[in-house]
Amino acid sequence: MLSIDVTRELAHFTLDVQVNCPYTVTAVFGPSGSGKTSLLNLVAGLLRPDHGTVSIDGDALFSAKHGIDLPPERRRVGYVFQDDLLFPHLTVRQNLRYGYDLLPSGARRFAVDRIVDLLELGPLLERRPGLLSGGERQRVALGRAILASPRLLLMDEPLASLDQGLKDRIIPYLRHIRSDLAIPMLYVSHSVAEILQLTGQVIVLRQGHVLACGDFFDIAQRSDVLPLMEAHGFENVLAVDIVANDPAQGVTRIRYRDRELKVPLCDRPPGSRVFIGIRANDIILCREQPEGLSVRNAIEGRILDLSTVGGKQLIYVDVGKRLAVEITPEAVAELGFQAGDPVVCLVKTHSIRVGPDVE
Amino acid sequence: MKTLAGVILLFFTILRADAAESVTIYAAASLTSALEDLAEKAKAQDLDMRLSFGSSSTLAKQVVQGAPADLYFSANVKWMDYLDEKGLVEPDTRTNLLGNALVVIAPKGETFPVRPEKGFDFAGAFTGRLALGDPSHVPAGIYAKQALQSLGWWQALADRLAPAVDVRAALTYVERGECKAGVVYATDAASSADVAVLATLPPESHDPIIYPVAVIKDRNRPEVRKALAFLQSKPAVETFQRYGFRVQQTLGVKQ
Amino acid sequence: MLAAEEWEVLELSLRVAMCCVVISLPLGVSLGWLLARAEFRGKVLLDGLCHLPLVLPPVVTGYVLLLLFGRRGLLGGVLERTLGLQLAFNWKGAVLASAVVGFPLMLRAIRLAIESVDPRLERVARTLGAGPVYAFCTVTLRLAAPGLIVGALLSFARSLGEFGATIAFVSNIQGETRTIPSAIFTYLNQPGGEAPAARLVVISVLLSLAAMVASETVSQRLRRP
Repeated sequence: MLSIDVTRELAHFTLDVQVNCPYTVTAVFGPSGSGKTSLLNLVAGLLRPDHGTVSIDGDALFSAKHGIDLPPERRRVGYVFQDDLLFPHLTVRQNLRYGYDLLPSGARRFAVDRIVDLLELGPLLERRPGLLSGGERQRVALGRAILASPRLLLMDEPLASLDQGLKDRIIPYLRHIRSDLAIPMLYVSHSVAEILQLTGQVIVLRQGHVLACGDFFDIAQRSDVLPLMEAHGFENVLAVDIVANDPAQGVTRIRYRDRELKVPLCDRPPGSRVFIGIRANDIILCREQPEGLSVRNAIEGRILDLSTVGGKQLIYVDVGKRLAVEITPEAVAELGFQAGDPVVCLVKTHSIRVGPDVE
Repeated sequence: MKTLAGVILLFFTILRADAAESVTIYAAASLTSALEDLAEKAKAQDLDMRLSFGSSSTLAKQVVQGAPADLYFSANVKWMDYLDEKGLVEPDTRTNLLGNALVVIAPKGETFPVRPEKGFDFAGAFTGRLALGDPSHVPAGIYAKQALQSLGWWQALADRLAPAVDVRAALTYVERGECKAGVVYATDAASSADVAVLATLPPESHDPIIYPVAVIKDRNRPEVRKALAFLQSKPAVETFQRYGFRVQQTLGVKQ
Repeated sequence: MLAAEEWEVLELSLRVAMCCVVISLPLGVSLGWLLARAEFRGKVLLDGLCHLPLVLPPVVTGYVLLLLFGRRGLLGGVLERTLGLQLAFNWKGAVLASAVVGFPLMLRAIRLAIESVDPRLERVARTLGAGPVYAFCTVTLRLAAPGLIVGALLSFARSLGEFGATIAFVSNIQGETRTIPSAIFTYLNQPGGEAPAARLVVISVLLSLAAMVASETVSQRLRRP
């Protein structure tokens, strides 16, 4: 359990955070410049708080009161940056072993081979970072941090500089780390979709203060939190089953609960479970199943509640999971949507993004 | 464009104006204090003496390479002969102006008795190295070696030397206490408050130390002759003597 | 090919140049790090001080060394009493003269090299468990190594050519402080000394070239991807 209670003057505001993170993965979400990176640096020991304490499982890493300030090398807190920051003069193997070799053999929780296999780094071991792709470098950076046997892993937007396809390929590795290696993570991101694939526990930061902390779906619809998420393209995430791929038609058929939907053609084998993402403003609501429409996907549900946020109207629909739908206030007024109403959610096939496998 | 030409013309005029009136004297380092003093006095007579000091050998070589010296004032007859042989001396202007003596010095407060005669164990009278001008080319060093050899002191000291780049540096070594003994000109010793003279080496023990001065060939301008005459004038002679030089030439010079 | 005297001069020059590099490097790395990474008051002053030998005439530098490290000098006296170390009229003094004169060149090269290394790399190393010194040595220093080599080479070459400060501080003692430039100077001042002087000039040039080739080779090896 990570306990943070710190204040620290920064350039534009004061960082003032009090949180406890009991879960394996806790996400830190917030707009740029809200202090997310500074918070991580405080936990890592790269930045000194003005007041307060930071402790893991009761062990103090920093305590102003007791005059404790462990240097980074004694904290056993791993850090994965957005820029992989691999050592350019070392091979992949040497990079991976940098922290590992510094540990007394009794303190090494993971064997090198195990992590190499987990992150599929075998063929890359003798290469220099300069010759690797972005995704490969981030995997090495992950492996390097893990092999130092940290008791907490800090990740500062590790996937931000990768394209969507790469992100989807690396998220499974992160899920492995969460479930197989059981290393607690503090994961900073401003992509809700990314966060949701790893955890439901979120800390929302704004201007150095904790705006909200807890289950994502509980806080997501708060009027003060929602605008932050909207700004980064709120995406609904659902877990679905692959039924069949249909190359002739250019689609893949999937099943969500008992409805069949069509998504853009992907290469997942039938029977596998994957995440799909649907942006809130790509969903159309109507009162009944329409006829004569080109839209292929229709999901029935019931309106849970409505909220207006910054000129936008959001309707939460229960389709087995809570879907956020953005429509114009005018339409809401005209169609008279109310909580409890049954509705049908329509989504164009090509508005659906196929994400990584569900583990 | 016209302004630029005008500026350049003005620039060169100024340069030429300067060059026309000043006299450049290349002189041995040991003449530094005396000549600087005289240059001050010369100003009163509307005479602009530009002084360049160094070791006589270096200066001579520079003159051979075309250095803009009007007068050459050497600490050594040999290097004046060298220039003369190369035809760089204006005929009938060469004058043996000054003389000097060699003294043995020690840092002030660290004196020891020295008898300037054969049989005295000079080498045994002090520890460490003997400071002197480099005997391979510095005139003061050449004279010093002659004197030491003739007194029979050289053998014991040959590998205990600190050959300095010029005689002033040798003086500095003794002033700083780096060397407990040194051989320099009497004039150098006189100029320093931090050394004590232990003995004067007998004039017979070395070649006469003569300071010849001459006008460099093709530089026999009126102001150069005026400078040469000034150096031999009564006030100049008195100044030289005050600094410890022996004066060889009587007054008067050919115009 | 070379007279015995000339071998002596060559050996002395090489010895002086190599010792010069060896004693300059630790200071060069420390100050290079300080000026590249640390922020403190008086940083500009320190920088200026380190570059002083570059702007002072070498003979003046030699004189200052005499004042400081001569027997009666501030530091010379202490050195003699505590370590029995004498520097004037000694090849060790020649080493000091070379080191001082070449230091600004070495410092610049090293500082630039350290500045060009991403400081975040060291911080990453710290989070992986490396202490500050280990992180500095295995990451920053290692990446700055080509610059260190350039700095060493500059110091070496400068030492081979160093004359003014050396001759003013330790004079021109055959076998002890007569380095190549001093020897060339001496030969030139003697009639018929042009030939040995020319030989020494050629050797000097060859030595510098050899040092340059060596440093390039090592640099290449370090940079190989």
